[in-house]
Amino acid sequence: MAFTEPVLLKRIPQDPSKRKVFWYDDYVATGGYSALKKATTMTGDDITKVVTDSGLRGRGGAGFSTGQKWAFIPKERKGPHYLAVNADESEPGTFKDRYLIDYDPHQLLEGIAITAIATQCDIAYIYIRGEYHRQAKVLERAIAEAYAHEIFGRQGIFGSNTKLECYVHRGAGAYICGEETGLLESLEGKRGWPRNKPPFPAIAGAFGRPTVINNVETLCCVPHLIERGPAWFKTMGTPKSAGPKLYGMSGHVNRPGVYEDELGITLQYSIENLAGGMKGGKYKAAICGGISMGVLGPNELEVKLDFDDVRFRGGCLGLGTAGMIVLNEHTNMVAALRNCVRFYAHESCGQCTHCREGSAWMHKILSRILDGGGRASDLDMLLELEKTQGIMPGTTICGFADGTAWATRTFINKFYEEFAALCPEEPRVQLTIRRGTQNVAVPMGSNTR
Amino acid sequence: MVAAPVVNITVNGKAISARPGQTVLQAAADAGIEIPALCNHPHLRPEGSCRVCLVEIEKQRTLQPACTFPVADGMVVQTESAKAVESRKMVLQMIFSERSHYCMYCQMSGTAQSTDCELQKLGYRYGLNHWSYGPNYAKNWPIDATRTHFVMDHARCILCRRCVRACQQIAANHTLGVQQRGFKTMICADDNVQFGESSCVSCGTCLQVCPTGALADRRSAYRGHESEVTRTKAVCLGCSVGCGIEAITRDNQLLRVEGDWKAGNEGMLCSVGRFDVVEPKPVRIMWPMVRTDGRLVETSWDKALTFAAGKFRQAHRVAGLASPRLPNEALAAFACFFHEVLMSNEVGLLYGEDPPLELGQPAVLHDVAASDCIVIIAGNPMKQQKVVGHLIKRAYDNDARIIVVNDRPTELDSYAHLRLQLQDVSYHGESPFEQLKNTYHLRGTGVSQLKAAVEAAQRPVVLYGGGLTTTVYAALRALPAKVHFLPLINGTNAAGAARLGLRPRPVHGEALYVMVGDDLPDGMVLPHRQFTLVQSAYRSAWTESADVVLPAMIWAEMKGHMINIEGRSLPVAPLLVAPKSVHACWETLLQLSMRIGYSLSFDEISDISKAVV
Repeated sequence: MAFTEPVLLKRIPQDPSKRKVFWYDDYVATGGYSALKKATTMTGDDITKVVTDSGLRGRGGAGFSTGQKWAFIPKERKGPHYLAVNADESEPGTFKDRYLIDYDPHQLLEGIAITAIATQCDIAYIYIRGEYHRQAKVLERAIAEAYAHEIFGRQGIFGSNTKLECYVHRGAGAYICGEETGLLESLEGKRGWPRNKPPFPAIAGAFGRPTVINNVETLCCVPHLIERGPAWFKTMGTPKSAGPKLYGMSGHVNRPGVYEDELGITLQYSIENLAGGMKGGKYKAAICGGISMGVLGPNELEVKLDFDDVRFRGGCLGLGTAGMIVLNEHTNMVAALRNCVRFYAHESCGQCTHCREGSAWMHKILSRILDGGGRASDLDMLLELEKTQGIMPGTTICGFADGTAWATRTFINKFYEEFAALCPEEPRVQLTIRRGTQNVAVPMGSNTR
Repeated sequence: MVAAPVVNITVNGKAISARPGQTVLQAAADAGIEIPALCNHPHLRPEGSCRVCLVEIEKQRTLQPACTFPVADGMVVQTESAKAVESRKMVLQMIFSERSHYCMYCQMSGTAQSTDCELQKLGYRYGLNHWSYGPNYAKNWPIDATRTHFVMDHARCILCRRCVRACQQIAANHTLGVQQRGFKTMICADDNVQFGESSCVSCGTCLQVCPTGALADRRSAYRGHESEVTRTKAVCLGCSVGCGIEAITRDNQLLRVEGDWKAGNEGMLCSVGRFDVVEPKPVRIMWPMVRTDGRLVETSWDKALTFAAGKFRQAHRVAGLASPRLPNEALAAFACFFHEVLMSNEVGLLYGEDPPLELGQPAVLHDVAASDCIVIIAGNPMKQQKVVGHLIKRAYDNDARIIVVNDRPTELDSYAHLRLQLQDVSYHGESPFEQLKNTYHLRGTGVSQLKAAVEAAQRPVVLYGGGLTTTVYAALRALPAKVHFLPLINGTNAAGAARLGLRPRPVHGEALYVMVGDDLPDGMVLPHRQFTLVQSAYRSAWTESADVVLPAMIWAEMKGHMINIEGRSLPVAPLLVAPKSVHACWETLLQLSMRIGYSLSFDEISDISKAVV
């Protein structure tokens, strides 16, 4: 278990003044596309096996085994297969994919080409976030280079049988299009509304055909894996969360930025060694993987940042994208949660009732707490809303509402005193209302809250 | 014989045999277990977004939407478990809280037994007697009243999007959509224009599927709950399609018309069939009228008929014109009256065109929607047979090939994969001269294109209008046998009239008998004669020019049969009771014939029906 040299960021130095875009020639000169050459001599099943053996888990947030995902694609071809690359990086606090595309676009393209061989894909769509103008341009140029050097195009990848076309598709600014089926709908030119599952994208994805959807960072790991093998990959990280990981450090830290380390470093280590320590005050909390994953509290500095420890010891939904927002002791946690929930209320796609209304209600209630109108019942209402939404209780189509729920749950549970201080117990007048033959005691104002 | 595969599931402890591919909700509904749902509608593809239908399924980690979850063998479902009910109550609270649902001011509102609102019904069922989350009074929800026939009140919308799906999947009009996202989501038309200015064709399908009072019909709102009205299945007499309707009546008044889901039109209607029938009409004629000193004066039936009979007896030749909107029985009696009583052959239809000849295998309406290649030759279904037009658009959405052959522009041109002129499909026979002409003028190239397209298709349908030349007919007859043909007949019962030998034609005679039923002139002028008798339900320019006017029944009061474009004989059932002083056409003719001195040979309407059908 050791992380000795940068893997994904080997062409991107820490010093901003030394960074430059690695176009095709530079990329090949630094050992690029050798993994792809090797992959063209392998069968799809072999590649999938290498990826499965390595224990590579999706870096987009859910942490699902990449090899398993590829194995779901039907072996029998009855039409085109698609590869959708999820570069719709919209999770607040996450900016790792942008960094990879910014300086090392061919690493991604090489990963795409190898994945296409493994899953017999004919067309790869890079669905990139609408706001990533520069990155889209970088990709366009890199793809043009790849076409010119016989990676993409009709002649097949380096003349092999796998023919792959690659396109950049730019999003139109909705967070929900980063959800895989929302992404597919958007890709098809429809409204970005997540689909009911089953069928899963591996069976009926883009245009009703089998589709692989992978995150940019996941695909960037693939060339290194092919080149150096699963055993090397497993030397990094923990047994269940292997490999390198990009940590997007932001918030109250001295050196915010994207840092690479292995999975399973502690929160303390990431703040002290990667981000250069706290800024402006002592550590209070950290949002560990984009706001949807929830928050780590003051006594959770020893939690390991991998797919499991954050969940089981940290009480979060998962590691997510490892976009860390570190908060210092002067942060108002109620305001921080309101800020998060405002994002959800704004970005909910509006399809399922719980999410559409629940997120709006959470924002409404938190705003009134912050504005000084908090009531004792407000926290109960927030927790009731939080418990009844998401795919975990089964009340929504996609996992968006789980994110809302988890942020709210962890914020309130871990900083209960801060919230309770703003929600004073109010004097309650009991009214007796005659309703039919029953006398019902109703606290005053209960139907106007 | 192989038994149909069965999936055995248990719902609420009851063993159910479901068909594979069914959803839990469908299987339960077939067994009489109602799982509440708001966004689901039996005739729309399920979307699973309202989350009211969440049920507990054993071995599933979480609650699952019954409307999208497919059945599997051995599945055990609890629809009313504590967990499911708790979740359902929460959804209902959320829905009630999102807009200002003032139930007491809504035309759908009622008691637990009488409410028409599906949301309110669930509110009662799950005992929602107060709100934890208050309604959203703060926002001024817009009301869009720019459409002629119905109103959209966004405050009552629950965003189930049944209307959006109905617009896409049933009407294939794609007008309705959704704008914004999250709690700002709103139903909108086109690029968020007002409904009245949008591409909406007012077919009203959205109105029929709306579960709440968000879409309200102007004419029937506040005129009675579902429990107080009578629903009668009938046939629309608006055009020759003969759509199945469900007429909603109360106190001998027609409140509203809905499409019959089980008929060939599959729930779809056009604005004529759904809304025009309940729009205000001209003054109804209740008693016979005779022109005295230049004015029409009301008189008794006896006097008017005796007067008219005298005029007809005097006349050398009497001509007759009938509206093609009348049912077979009225038309048969009319033709009989002229042939047998007045000994005149000068009888025809008031307007319309000769119905096209019958060709090949007849198609039914469903064939159009399910077709993969549709040829439309002459005729304009988007104008004349609107429901057929929508079925064509639906087939287009399912990747059917559309070929339009017409000399004039039609509404379907923009859907056409191939657009031809009539002369392109004029088939020239086998004579050497014709062959030579083909070679030199390259005429008839369309025939081969048409043939190729039809041959490549699995279920081709040809829709053809009237007024085709024999050469075009020849080309159509030469198409392969798998083609189904549907004639686009103009005039509601023109097909029935043609079978009785009544065709639109100029008629001659010094006296004229015009039987218009509830038809209106729409600018058409009657030929001037010495004596004119008009039998009409409404006062119009036609009756103003008549010497004698007799009252007639309107479509909803008539009884009989009509023949639609599929060639099917459809029963026309009376929905309303006619005023006492208004008689059926055949009765009037019987009375008139007796006064002329030669009685017609029928006493009952069934006598005519037997003779005609």
